[in-house]
Amino acid sequence: MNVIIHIVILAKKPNYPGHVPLSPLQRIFLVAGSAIMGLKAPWRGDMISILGDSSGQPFFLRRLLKQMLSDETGRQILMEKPRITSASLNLPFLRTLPLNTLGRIYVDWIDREHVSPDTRSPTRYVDDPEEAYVMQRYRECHDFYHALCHMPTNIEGELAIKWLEFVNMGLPVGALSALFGPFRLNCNQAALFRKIYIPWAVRNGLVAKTLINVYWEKELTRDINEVRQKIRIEAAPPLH
Amino acid sequence: MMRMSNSALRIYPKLTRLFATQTSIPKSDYDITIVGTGPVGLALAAGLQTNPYTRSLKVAILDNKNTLMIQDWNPTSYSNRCVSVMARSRSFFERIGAWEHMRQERLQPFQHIYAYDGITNSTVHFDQPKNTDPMAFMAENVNLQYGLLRSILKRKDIRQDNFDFLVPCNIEKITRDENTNAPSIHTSTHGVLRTRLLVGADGRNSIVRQFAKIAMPGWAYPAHGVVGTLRVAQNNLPSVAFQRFLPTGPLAYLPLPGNNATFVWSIYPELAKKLLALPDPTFVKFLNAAFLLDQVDLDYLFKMDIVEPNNLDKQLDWRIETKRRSLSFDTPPQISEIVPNSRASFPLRMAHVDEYVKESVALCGDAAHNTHPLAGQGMNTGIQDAEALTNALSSAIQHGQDPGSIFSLQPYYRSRYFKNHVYLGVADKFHKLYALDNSVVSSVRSLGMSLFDRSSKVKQAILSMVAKGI
Repeated sequence: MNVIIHIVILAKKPNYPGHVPLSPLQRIFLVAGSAIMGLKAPWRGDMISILGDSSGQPFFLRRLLKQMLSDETGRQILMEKPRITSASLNLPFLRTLPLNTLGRIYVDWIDREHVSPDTRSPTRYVDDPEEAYVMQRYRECHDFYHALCHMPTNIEGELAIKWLEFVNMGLPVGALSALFGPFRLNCNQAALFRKIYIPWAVRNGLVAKTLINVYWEKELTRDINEVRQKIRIEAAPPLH
Repeated sequence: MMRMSNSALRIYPKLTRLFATQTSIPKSDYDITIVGTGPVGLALAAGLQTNPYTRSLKVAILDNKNTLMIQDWNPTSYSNRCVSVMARSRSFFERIGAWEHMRQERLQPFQHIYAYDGITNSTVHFDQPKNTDPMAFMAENVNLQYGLLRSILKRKDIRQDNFDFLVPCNIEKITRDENTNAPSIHTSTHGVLRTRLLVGADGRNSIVRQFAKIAMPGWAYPAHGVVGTLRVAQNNLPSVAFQRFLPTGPLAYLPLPGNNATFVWSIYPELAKKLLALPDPTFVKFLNAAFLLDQVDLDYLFKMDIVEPNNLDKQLDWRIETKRRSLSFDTPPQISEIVPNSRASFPLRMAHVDEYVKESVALCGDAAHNTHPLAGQGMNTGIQDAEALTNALSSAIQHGQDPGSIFSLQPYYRSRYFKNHVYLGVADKFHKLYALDNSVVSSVRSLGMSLFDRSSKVKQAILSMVAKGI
């Protein structure tokens, strides 16, 4: 698929390193293609990334950027442009933090679920460089939502977080995952999901502060309940 | 001449002395008295002076300021009160011999106008082909007065005509003469002046209009116009005027000769106050930002503390730099400084008198109509009023009519009222259309702008219509 895109590409200049400009027709195809692949193979994280990149424009990412620009911390994030990588977070240091801190809970969760903050693919299909950063930040913060709300990375957990993201920040990739993802759950899982997780996600998504405006790197040494209170979010109800 | 109603009881009718017993007050009689020496009042005087039928009239020109001092105008920087002179006004100035007396090096022709929507940044380019006469000139108000005044005085010197400048003049009241019903202007500086026609070219708060009891319906906009004189770093676009339609009001950048420019920013009064309170360097950054950033960004910046502007400066620098790197629309040249003490603001309104003329009274210019500055036609419509009034009076004199008679003045009213009214209405609706922050409206509006931009025939038609005069 990548080869096809590179052949058909228009003579538009890239706006930042790694940028791949798309024409509207290419964009429509990319959204459709990655959505279908993402549904068929939800373990393909790169498909979801591509879906996010291509569907964010022109309206949704801009709206999220505007929400960041109206918030003091959001503007600070945009000015400093922090990236979340295992190096920038200093995982060994986080492992030494007290058990109740956000940083420690995050690093314990990472170790338990065998994931890493470095697996997020860079944004490629967003045209405006600032919006591209917003998309990147959106993806990189995803793990923090898991840690904050105590959500596992199984299908229900992921879908609940996707619902939360969509209700809170309104990006279509969240909507598409949230709407079509549950079709992959079996009856029991789906029932539980509908009864407990969707209400939890909607309730918290609406009430919580816009999650992209949280400067996670500065909250790592804080007590997790304090952080939850500040963001106005509850921990997830237990799975069983 | 006394009432006979109670006189049945009187044996002898009371004799009233008809002659003024206070002979120490000088009285002068004029055919036409023009109150107001702004560009419109002076243009009318020059028009009457150059017209073969009206040049022999006795005309008095009054103002509470000593306008004759403008002859010594020797400025260092550009005034913050500038206007755009459209082609039609320019040709009138040429015909009355005033254009050549203006300081030509201080006039800036422009041949392009870029208008863009502040939400979607879709642009309309009005471009003139290279070797045509410019669509308009930017000029300082005082430069227009300078040229008009010099032309009037030069002709007066040569021909010794009866065009008298009575300045500075302190008008105490205006009454109607008891015998002739002619307007009588009582002044403390020049005695009592009687005139056959009193012309109010005395601006927004016209005393002539008040005297004639002419109503001026309209409304105040919740907006002030902030103006100032700027210098730009590098004038790479010398003949382009820009206008950005922000939801808070339009912001216009208007070029002046060299690396100078002026601006008019129509904005809510409380924000105008904030802008005036900013220190000069911060204001310059803010103005640059206003041509680049989204309204959301500007809203945040407006809310920041202005007493300690360091944070505001940092934010402005960062946002301007970020936006400039990924700019997808045309913006004015970067503004480098603002001339100290040149920032000012004035309230905006739309208003139009019901009648332009009454027996012995005529109104023209801002005394008759006020508009939003967004299309730069406030003074141009006033100049066309002066032209029309000159023509009406010329025609009246040719037919032996009294210049103050309502029959002489009606043709002027008829020729100007409807056109001015349509223009005021259109300007008002444009202002209201672009003040809407609604996303549906802004999408439709931008689509309209894009389509309009692509239809060069329509654009040319509109441009020539405005240039030929409203």
